[in-house]
Amino acid sequence: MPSLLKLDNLHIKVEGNEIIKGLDLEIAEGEVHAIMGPNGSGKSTLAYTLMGRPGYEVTQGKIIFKGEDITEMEPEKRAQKGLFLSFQYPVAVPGVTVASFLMTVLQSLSKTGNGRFAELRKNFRKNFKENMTQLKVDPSFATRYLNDGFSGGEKKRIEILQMMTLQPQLAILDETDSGLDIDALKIVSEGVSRYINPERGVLCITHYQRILNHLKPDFVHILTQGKIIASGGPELALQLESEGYKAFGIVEETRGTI
Amino acid sequence: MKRESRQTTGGQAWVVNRKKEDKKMEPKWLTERRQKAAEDFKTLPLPKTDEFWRRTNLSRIPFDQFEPIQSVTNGAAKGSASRYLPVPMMVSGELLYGEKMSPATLDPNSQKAGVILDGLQNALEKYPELVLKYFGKGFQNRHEKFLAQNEAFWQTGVFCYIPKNTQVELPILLASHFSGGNQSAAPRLLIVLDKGAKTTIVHYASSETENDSIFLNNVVEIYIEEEAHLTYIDSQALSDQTFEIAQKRIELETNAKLKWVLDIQGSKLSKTNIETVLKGSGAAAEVLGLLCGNKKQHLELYAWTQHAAPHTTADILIKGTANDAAKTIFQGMIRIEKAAQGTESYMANNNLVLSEKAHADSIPRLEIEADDVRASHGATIGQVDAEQLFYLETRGLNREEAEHLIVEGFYEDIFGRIPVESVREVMRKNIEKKVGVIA
Repeated sequence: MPSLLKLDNLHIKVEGNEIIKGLDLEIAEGEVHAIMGPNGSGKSTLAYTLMGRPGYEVTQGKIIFKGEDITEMEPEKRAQKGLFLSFQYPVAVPGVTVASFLMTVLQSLSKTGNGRFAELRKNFRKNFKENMTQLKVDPSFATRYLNDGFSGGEKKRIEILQMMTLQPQLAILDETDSGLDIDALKIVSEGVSRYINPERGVLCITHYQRILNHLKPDFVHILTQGKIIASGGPELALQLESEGYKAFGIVEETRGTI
Repeated sequence: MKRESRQTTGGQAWVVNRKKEDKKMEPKWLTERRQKAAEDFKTLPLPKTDEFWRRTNLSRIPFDQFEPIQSVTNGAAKGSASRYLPVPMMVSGELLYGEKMSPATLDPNSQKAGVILDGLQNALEKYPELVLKYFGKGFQNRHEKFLAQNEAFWQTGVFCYIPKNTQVELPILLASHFSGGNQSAAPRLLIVLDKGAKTTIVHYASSETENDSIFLNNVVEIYIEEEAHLTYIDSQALSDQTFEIAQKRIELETNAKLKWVLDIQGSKLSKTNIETVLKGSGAAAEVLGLLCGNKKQHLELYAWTQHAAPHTTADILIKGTANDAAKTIFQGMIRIEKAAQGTESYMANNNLVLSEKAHADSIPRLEIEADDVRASHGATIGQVDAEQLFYLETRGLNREEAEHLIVEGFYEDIFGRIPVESVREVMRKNIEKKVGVIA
């Protein structure tokens, strides 16, 4: 399978502190990878850096996406190439409705000359409506202001709605499961599962195993203190679930996620 | 330096220029008023230290470099006003004024109803009594530098009158335009809605400059008689080398209604003072203002709202964005007189600062003499969040597009209250030019 994402000895600094300290990861087309780790292990730092967040500095190593070095690329260029991040804490944009926002994004992406986006733009109304139905999002959300006054769970559903609308090639899900109740988790996971196909990949970042019951990852990695300390199949997540992080010699920090 | 002393006059050339004009045919009362105002203008100092003027540095205006235009009564073809709008608009009548003036057009129904739309000079000849009844009525005994300048030297303007109980369905468009050449002008607008009249008036001010500049001293007076309803869209897209000082006053009589949309986007420096005077009981005003500054623009809006009668209401929402090294200033004053019992008055001002060098100021004030009053004011100044920008960029928008979307969203509650779609389009188009275009 052709490689989608390749990280080779990646080091990341934020505000002068090294958070990711030599991380290797390769995701091929069609694969679902999960990164699990305790709070403060660098999960969100990795997600933000893959998307090109300012202030997140790659000091060593490279981010290769579909064979291209994107380490220094602007966030919007990464989106144009097919990368997507479902935010742990989606940001409100008052005055901009969900539907007009996505239409604006597709219009802008179409200008890059990529026929795929022109096609998505053409079929926007139909797809958008279908996706809303699939995710059991009330139609009124189309005309509500993006994430403005949404509950945590609503925000996460809208993140996945955005993913389904933009159809990226690699979706990074940063704790998409947090803030979702069991039913919502199931619906959102089904949305992600339907999105997956042999050309697409998912990087699911999570603290807990429960979303992985639905997503069925091909590979699970355990991240702590900026390094992957164990990689394996789905059984690794189950082991973590039953034995806890302590079994991997990890002491959980009490502070919030970076 | 000699230049320094001359600058404090606010433009001596006006006085010299006017002498030639006085020889023209004008009613005697007008000539006398002009002469009286000219004396005021000559003797009054520039209002530098006054609380309401001190935030705009008037010495940035090179008053003496401008040549005042001569009186204007023609020069443009019928239907020229629409040409200056960035989008088409269905109108029931239109008139262009400024450095050139077009004949007015009016639909047959409005003509039959007795609607008057004409140049102010023409109206003075044709309807002297009607014009005299209102002209300058709200600005008596003010003795202010720029009001006096306009009163003394105005050369171009419009008179619009909507007769009793007349409803004009489509908007009436008034457009002013000036091209560069270091000229200056004092345009004057007089609008009257007689009892029970209803209309929408769209005013669009534009100008062009390259290496030269323009100075405009605009005075607007609008009288809304009993039970009359006016929606007044006041859109300004002056060029970035235009200096503007404006005094705009709207008086509302008993049960009169006003929706005033101020769209202030253009000019190098603009100091706009608006006065909303609720004179009759039950009068209601909604004032919506949009300030959008970029580059080195200095945009100041001073909104004075006076409740002089019982059971009057005012709802004021002003939103400003400042980009690059622009500065936006909002000063608001709600004045509730003793007689104005049962009054409701709200004023909100929200600002968004889009760059480190940009700046926004907000000074809302309340003065309440009556007891039975509901009044509040609030102001916010915020910045575009790096978090918000990153979020939008990860979806594929570049920095400019993301900023533009945030700004559009910021103004959305104002757009939502503008009743004419083409007006919203005009404003959006002009914002796009300044904050970057999406798709």
